[in-house]
Amino acid sequence: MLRFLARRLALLLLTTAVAATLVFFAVQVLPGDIGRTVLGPFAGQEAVAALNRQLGTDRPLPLRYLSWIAGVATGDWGRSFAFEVPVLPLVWERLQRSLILAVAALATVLPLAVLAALAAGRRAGGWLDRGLGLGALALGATPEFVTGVVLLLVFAVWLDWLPVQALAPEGAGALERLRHLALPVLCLSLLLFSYFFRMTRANVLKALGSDYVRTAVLKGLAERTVLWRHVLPNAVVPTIAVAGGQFGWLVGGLVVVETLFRYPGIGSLAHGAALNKDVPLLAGCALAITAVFALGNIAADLAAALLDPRLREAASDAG
Amino acid sequence: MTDFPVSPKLISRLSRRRLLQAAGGLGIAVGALPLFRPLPAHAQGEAPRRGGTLRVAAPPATTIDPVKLDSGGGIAVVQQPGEYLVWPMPDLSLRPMLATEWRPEDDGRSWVFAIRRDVRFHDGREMTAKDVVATFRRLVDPKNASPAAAQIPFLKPEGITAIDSHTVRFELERPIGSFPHYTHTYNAVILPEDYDGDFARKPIGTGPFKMTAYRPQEGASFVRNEDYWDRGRPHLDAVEIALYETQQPQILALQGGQAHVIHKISYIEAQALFQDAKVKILDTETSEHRQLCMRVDRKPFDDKRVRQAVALCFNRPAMVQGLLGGLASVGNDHAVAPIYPESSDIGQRVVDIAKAKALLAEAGYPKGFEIDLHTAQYLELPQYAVLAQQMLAAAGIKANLKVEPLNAYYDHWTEVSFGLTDWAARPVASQILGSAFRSTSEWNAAHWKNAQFDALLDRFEAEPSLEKRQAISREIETLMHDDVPAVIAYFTKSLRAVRQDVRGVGASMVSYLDLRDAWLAA
Repeated sequence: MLRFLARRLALLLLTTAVAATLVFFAVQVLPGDIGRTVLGPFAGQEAVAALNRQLGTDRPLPLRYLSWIAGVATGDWGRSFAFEVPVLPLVWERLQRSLILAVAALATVLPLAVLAALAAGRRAGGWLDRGLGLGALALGATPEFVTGVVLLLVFAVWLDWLPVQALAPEGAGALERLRHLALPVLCLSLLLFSYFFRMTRANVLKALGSDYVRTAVLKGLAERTVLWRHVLPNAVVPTIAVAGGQFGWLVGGLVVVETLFRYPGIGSLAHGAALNKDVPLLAGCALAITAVFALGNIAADLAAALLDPRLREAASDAG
Repeated sequence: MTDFPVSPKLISRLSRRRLLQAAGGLGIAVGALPLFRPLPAHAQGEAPRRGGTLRVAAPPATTIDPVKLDSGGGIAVVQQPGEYLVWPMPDLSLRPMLATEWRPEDDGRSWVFAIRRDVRFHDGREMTAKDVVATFRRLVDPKNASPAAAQIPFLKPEGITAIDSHTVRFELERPIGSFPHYTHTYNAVILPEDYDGDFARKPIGTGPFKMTAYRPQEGASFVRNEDYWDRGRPHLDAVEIALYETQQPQILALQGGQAHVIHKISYIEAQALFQDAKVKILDTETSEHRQLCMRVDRKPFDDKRVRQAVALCFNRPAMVQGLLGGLASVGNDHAVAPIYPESSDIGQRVVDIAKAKALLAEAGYPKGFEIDLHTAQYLELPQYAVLAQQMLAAAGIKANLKVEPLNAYYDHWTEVSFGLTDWAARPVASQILGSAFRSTSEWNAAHWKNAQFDALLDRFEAEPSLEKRQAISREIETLMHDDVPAVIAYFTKSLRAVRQDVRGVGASMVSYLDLRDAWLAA
């Protein structure tokens, strides 16, 4: 098990390094020029050249890459070109913020989706099953900017129950922070619900039709016990694996939700860096997001292994 | 397509007359004493209420170093702790700020500014002529990267000198009749002589608010400067500027009461707010416009008749109505906006497809031609491009639209043959004329090199008398109108959205944010 973990972590380091390198070189071909972006379309070419010289973007590419990678290895991720602040603290602050949102969203949607799937799968084809299925399908098909705007209009503008902006003011307590997060968490939950629900429901049905459940029923166990002890653990393993895969996206890919609810996380940081051709910042964001992707997958594998002894065995054998 | 009943000539005449009455001759700021104070904040007869925090939703910012900054959000942030020598008023007059008086010497070749006494920086040190000299030298020093250098190209570091502790002389490379207007270019907030380039960490200015926190991509916090030189101001305890990547969240924040002001809002985005009883939309006339530039050094636009034909395809009143709900004034293919005191009345170009076709046939394009039309995904530019495509099709010109991300477009906007560009408002007509159409300018996207225009512009720029400038302007307008380096179909109004309880905040032609007089009604 430990060897398995060590191997996965080593793989993670390699993945992140490769991804960061790819991003570093890929952003060079993006259109745009950082000096021009910062100084604007009407600045003189002389001024643009002066700024590019100050930022060092006129140095040869391999040289820039080497000094960047050496910096990363020693904990200095460079300075953002556009914002003129060190990259590492900025990325770290935004990453924490994104992690909070992602964890809150998963913690809300996973139990709800699994319970709903269990309830729906128990009486497949019943009114509850059909209703949930239809609702989930409709929610899953609605893009987040539509759901988000509707939520904001209803809960923040008309009813005035919740704040429009997800970012709590400085020094706010934990409860106040949660209240600010409620709308984006709700928006993400609605978006993800259908995915998790349908996947878990299919697995619930599969488990219900399996031999071990039939055996359990035949030996006279109560329906509750069968559902909780035998169906649930088997149906939930694939869902957790999927959630682990989704985690990286939830952390790094939420540009629309972050922008709409004004919750500047690492997704919008990376997005802005790409638009500005802010190479050190974008490469830093890519490093952080890749690491989260890989860590999410490892965490999901571990959780699945805890629930499923067969996977535990497999992991040990592989290790 | 039919013309709209309102005559654009009438509009421009009215606005000019109003302007002349108000300004009493702009540009001849000889020995300018403060002729008028800003409109009182309590225009409705209310006394300003002291206290409260005003929340402003602003566009994104990149750097907030005043020397380098260019972004709308960055400018709004810096204008709270920082101040200029003068402040541009809605009628294009100048309000004395850190300068109290100014006068030209040697027919406008040099200008002398009296610097306000007893003004302290936020760190307690007195602001003097030394700081003013250092600020302007920093901006025009070619070693520094500042957009300002290109805005005041006639100013060189060695031309800026302190005569005494509170008098500064600017010796220019050529006479500039309205030089004081150039001193409020957005980079020119007066900073201490020893400013080290890190404004986010040490935001020392003289302004009404002190910056207490700045978070990249998020916003900035300010508190009242208790030692502000203009006693009794500002009225607010604090200001919060929140930076937004897009406008929709700003609108929701305004509607939800988490923002009091949307710094700048486009007509398209303001739709949702026109009907909202809790919100006021403020507007002001500007010289902001769009230039549809045609490269005169390349086929097919190397022939003047082709450019005139393009200009004749545009139904301007319909564009003003359709693209901007009437919140613009019709343009006449020259850059002297009706708001400028120099603008004159040279006969409006109206849509005439038959004439356009005839001109194209004369130029050797009886069947029209095909051309790529480049523009940016920004403001109403994409919609403008679509309208242009339809209007040009009537004369047989087939425009292929290339709507690009803003940065990508700005990467080659002066290279393309046919490009539609947004031009921000400038307080002085010669700034736009010089940046966009002088033959030596690097932003001359039409590559229009006209010696007669250059000569006229030199005279226009140097002339301190408004009356004489008006006469020159007429020649410039006629020349541009006839030669059409660019179609200028309209000049937009600048909009700002505020909640009903906000007082003392106005719309701004150059999208500046002045909160000295702002307060919140109970």
